[in-house]
Amino acid sequence: MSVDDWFMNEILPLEGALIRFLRANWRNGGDVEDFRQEVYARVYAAASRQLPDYPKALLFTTARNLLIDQVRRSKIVSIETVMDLDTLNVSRDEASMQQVITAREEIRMLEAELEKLPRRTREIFLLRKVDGLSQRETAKRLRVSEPTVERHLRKGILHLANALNRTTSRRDETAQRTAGEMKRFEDEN
Amino acid sequence: MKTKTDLSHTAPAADVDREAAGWLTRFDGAGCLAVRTSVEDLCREDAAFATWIGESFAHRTAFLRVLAAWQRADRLSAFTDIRPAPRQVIPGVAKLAAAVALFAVAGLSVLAVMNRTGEEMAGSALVAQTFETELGGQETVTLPDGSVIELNTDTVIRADVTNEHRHVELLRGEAYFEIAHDPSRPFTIAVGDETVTVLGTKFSVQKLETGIEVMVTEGRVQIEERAAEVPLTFVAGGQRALTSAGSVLVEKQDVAETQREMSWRTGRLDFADTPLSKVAAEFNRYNETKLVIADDAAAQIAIGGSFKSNNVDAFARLLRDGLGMEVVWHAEEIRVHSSPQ
Repeated sequence: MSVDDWFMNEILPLEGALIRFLRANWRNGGDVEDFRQEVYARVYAAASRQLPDYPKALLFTTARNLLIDQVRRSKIVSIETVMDLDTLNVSRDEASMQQVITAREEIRMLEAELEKLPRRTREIFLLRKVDGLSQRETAKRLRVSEPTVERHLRKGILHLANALNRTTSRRDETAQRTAGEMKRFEDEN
Repeated sequence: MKTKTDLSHTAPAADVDREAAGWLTRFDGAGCLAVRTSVEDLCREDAAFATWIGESFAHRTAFLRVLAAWQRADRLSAFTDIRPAPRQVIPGVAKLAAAVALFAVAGLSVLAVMNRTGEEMAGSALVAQTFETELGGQETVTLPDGSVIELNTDTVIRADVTNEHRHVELLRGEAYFEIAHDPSRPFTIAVGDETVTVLGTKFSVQKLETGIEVMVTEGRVQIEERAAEVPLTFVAGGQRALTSAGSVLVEKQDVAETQREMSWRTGRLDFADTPLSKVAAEFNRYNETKLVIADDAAAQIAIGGSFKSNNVDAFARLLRDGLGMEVVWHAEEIRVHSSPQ
């Protein structure tokens, strides 16, 4: 398995749990996406040296270390943060709390997320992804320019990436795994 | 570096994500995103992308993230891949009419689920839309309720699907339907001014010169003359119904025949012992260049085989080289004679 495949299959399905973990342990919610980005970069770097046996454990340990680094690096450390630091353990519940949904629920969720998009964006996204029209055909059908179609698709996929990567469907095996591997990982390291 | 939290040396996630999505949609526009496309493939495609990817792992993971979402979004349309047995064609055009109401009987569970979500989507972009194919064209559309319609060559349909009703009008041509199961919202198909009610999930409807043709692969179809007081006619899977001036003829059709008749769905025309006149008429439904059979003897010749519907040239060459017929190419037609004169 390539590192890319590994990342997509093992790590991305955990995004929902990761985001909840970051939110729960960092007071400034505005930083969470940047943390997520950094955690992914670090996890990927580690995995390209060697694919880890316990992806979930690697992910949350990386997240925890990142948060600890951040606290240490901050010039102003609030009492609250210092206290949090002591309790900053990846709870096993946290890791298993990831939302597991069935394929049907997933499709329903996809559609619900599409509903949140502006009408034009949704229409273009549906034509491209559901009806299978190419960008050019979509542009022709709606009598808009191809760059316009591309722009709407970009908007749509960004929205869906946030929504989709935060849930995981039952077919993603990772979701089935228990948080037990976290324990084993911690014991071994 | 704008983040307050001083994370390594990467731009804010929002910016990187937008860049990643930009690359993704650019590749999609260029048709570079196949199912198994790897980041390395794309790097070979575009040096600027390779540079961007190489700049940081954050770039790479951001790209993988939008790529994963892009691929998962395909599951939205995955249910349209549930393809049943294929369907048919009879040459013809215009003037009859029917409305077809389908009460899906044996709907697949996935489709049943799609119904519910379809309701949520009612009022969205796909409601009350016109779809059409050009001569030789073919298109598959998915309605908001999850029903799938395959349009054959030179076909126009109007679809109006809301929370309350599901209505499609076949204005021209031929289409194959897979209707999502939803007893609360009958699916009606109007074809001209005859009313046809269909019970079933998978069938085709073609508008002919004097009526309609309904071919059922699965479930049951009910045909009803809108004007005349004719009893309802039921057509079951494996049957074919032909209406004309208030009459309905139902005949049994063996599976092989149904398969042949529906071969257009794969871009082919299949024949078995079919008179050349009928074969030519079939090809002419798909191509600007018309096959003209110049004499009766030629028209009677029986043809069998499988041909690409849009390659009338190849078929004409076969007639010439294989059957020794005289074939003359003109600007807008290909004339076929039984033997060289």
